[in-house]
Amino acid sequence: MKQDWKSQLRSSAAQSFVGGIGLAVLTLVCFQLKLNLATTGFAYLILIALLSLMGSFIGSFILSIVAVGLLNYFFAEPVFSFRVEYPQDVIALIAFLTTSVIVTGLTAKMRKAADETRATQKVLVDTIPALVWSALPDGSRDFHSQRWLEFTGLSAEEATSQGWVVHPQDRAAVEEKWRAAIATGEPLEVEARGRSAKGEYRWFLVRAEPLRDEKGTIVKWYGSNTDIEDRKNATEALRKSETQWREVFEHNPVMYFMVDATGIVLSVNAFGAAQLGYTVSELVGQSVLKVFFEEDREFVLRNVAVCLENLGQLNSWELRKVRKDGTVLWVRENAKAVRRSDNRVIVLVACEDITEAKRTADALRLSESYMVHAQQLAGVGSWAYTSSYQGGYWDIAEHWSAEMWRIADFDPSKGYPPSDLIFSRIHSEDRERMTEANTHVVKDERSLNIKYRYSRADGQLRVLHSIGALVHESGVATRFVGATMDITEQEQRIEQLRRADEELHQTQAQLTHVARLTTLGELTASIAHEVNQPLAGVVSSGNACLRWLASDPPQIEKARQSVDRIVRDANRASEVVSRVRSLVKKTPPEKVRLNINEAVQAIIVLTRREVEQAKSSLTAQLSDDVPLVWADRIQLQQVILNLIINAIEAVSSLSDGPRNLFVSATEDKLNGVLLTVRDSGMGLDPTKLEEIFDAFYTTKRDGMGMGLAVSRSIIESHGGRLWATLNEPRGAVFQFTLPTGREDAS
Amino acid sequence: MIRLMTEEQPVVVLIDDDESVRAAVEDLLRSVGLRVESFRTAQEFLRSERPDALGCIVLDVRLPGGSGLELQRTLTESRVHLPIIFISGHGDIPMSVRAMKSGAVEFLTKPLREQELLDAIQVAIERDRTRRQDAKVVAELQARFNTLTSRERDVFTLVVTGRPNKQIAAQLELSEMTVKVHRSQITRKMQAKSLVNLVRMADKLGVSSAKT
Repeated sequence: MKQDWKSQLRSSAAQSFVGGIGLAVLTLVCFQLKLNLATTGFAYLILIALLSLMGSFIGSFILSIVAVGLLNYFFAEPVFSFRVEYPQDVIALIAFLTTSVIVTGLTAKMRKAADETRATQKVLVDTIPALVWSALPDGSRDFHSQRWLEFTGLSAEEATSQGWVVHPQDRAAVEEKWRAAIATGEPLEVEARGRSAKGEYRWFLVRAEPLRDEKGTIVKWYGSNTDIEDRKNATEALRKSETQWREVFEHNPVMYFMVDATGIVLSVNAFGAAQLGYTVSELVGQSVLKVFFEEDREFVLRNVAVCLENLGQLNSWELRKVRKDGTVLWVRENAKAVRRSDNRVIVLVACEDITEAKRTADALRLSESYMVHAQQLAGVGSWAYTSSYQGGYWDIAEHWSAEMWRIADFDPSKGYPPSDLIFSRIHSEDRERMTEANTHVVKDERSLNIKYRYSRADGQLRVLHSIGALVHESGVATRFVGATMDITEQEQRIEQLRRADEELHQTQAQLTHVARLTTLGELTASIAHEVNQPLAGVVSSGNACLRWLASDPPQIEKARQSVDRIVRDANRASEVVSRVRSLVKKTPPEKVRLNINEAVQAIIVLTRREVEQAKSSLTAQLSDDVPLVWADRIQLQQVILNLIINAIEAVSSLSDGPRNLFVSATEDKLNGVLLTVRDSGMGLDPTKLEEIFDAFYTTKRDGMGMGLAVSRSIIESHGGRLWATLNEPRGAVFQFTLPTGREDAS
Repeated sequence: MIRLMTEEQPVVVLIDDDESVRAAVEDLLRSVGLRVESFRTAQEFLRSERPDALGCIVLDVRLPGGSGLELQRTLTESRVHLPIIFISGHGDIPMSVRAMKSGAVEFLTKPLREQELLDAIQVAIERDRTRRQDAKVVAELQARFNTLTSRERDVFTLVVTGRPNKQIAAQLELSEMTVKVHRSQITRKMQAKSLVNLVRMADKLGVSSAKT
């Protein structure tokens, strides 16, 4: 207001100054021209009226008084005096003043009204939520609203000279449209981004209408730029959101149905239709019942009825649908009836294909039931434990299978039994082992594998076998999972088998011993001879010694030599005896590392006489580098003895031809040692190369038929193999292998 | 000793494949002053080129490459007449009977009793000596016999059967006189003192009338 007042004062002062000069000039002109009072009065009046257009009422009023004074002084008789000669001049002066005041008053009022209008317009223009502008018919801008200027940050002059800055991408389009509008006179409407004072671009809807005169000629363009940035963003967002939702609706792997109360499909998403093998249009307007499995339609109707009765309540069910091609799928439907804004009740259905899930669930259920059965049949219970803290004992049960409850003999309805209760059921002698095993699990993360005795609630003692291992998750043991088997019967059977096996072993050992004695029996003569020879030597040497001593002079040196021989021969006899005794002795088999050559040589010595008596010759080829074998010496010698005696017997019954025996021990690359006994005897029946190893198979008149059977069992218990082949041109070959390693097949 | 030195030194041949036995027996025999030659096998002995000296064989019954009994047979075939004493580790009766039947001096079992062995050796050597003396006589007689003409040998065979001259003449289709001449020639050549003496000679020579 103060501003207003000041400007008013300023304009009044200017008005008074200009008016003063104007009056002075006019007065001078009129005075010189000697114009009369009335004419001058008109001239003044015109001046004052004109001046009132630029100044305030006060200024005009003052000028009017001054003008009356001038008229009175210069043009009313008497001139140069404010005295009025003629009364008509007074009237004229009064009329002038009145007219002048009225005119200036009217002018002021008119001006005020015009000012107000302009102010209102300005407010209006500036209040419109748009950037308003106008342009001349040639397109050059001549006005920009305050908002326009504020938005662009340009001054009015800058705005007029350079216009606003349009986003480079929009510039061409805007300019083209504007040119077209100017050329055709059609209203302009274009969307473009304009730059703000801050340098940001915002979307505007630019519109311009031409103003035409009576002749239709465009005189001006009026335009407005409406900020549509927010709207545009909102629209874009809406469009995006709608697209998104449409995508969701159409392609979400859920079938959506909208059905009216009578079951007619109002809409269905593309996915839903496709899942059923239809197109959307094939379903819309049709009864929804046609996609349901015939037997389930009744069920559908009941369910829909429930929905319709309970508006807004969600119901779900599982049922079968039928595809267009007739195949059936299982679905879960979630449905609810709602009242639409048009007061129509519709049912919304979301439907999910659960065929696979159902199959998986069925399979899972089935496999679970199989597992329960399998566990029951196998007597295996499974369990899982977790720990209350890291590094603690695995004492918090998470899972016990049904069979586990049965094996541990606890009531599942009472919850997992505490660890110490379970522990108390373990046989006292096995508890320490169990504790140790559990400690290993906790401390060393070792797996558990332990057999222990466990008493059931009724005191019955069972043998259980538990195995377990830690399950790791990202490197940290999180669970202790395992299985427990009731192996009571199994253990009993094993024990029985073990006993039977032991008995069998004893029987075998006895049989082996008997067979050995039998074989040795055949050697009695030879053995006696072997002992007798050195003894004969001893006696004779003794006699000789006595004679050397008795001679005159006593032949001491000779006697000493005799005694040396006595010692040697006595040792030899003793060796034979001990060798035989070791074969006769009933000792449990004891496997040691031995050189097979030594065993063979010992047997060759024992059988020497037999060989001679059979008028045969025995060649031994004992390779020096045979590997050591892991064997029981006596049993091994028994086999060799048996094979050599058989060979001797085979050649002794010959009536002609050579009687050759051959024994060799060589290294066998595959199995360690290969021993061969070859004879040129009667040979074997080629069809009975295996039968000869059967017990009680014999070709000897007084044989037991145990020799080869026992030999084979001995060799096999050493992990070797004994077999027979035919010799060329005549005779038999018996061979066995022995592994060098510590293999114990028995 | 002195007697033995002057006489032919007897040699005991020991055949035993067992080194202990061989060495011990050899030692024993030497300790009583006997000469011993020992062999491991019969073949070794047969292959050895040794003079046919007075002595005997001590032979193991069981030998490699042929038993002692076989060797005995072989020796007889090759006209080695050394008396044999069998020794055996475990002699059985049938074997000893067989051995004795085929002319063994003794059958001893090991271990050998010293005295038995030495006695047997003594007997055997004596027997060999006797046999050798007999053989010498026979050889002399044979030499004399060889001087007879074939006709004289014919007459000889018939004379020692004790037939009279007449019969002999008839059998040989000779005159009685011729037979007489032959007979006196025979008696002279054979240096016989009597018919009885001549008959004994014929026995020793093994001349018999059977084949004629």
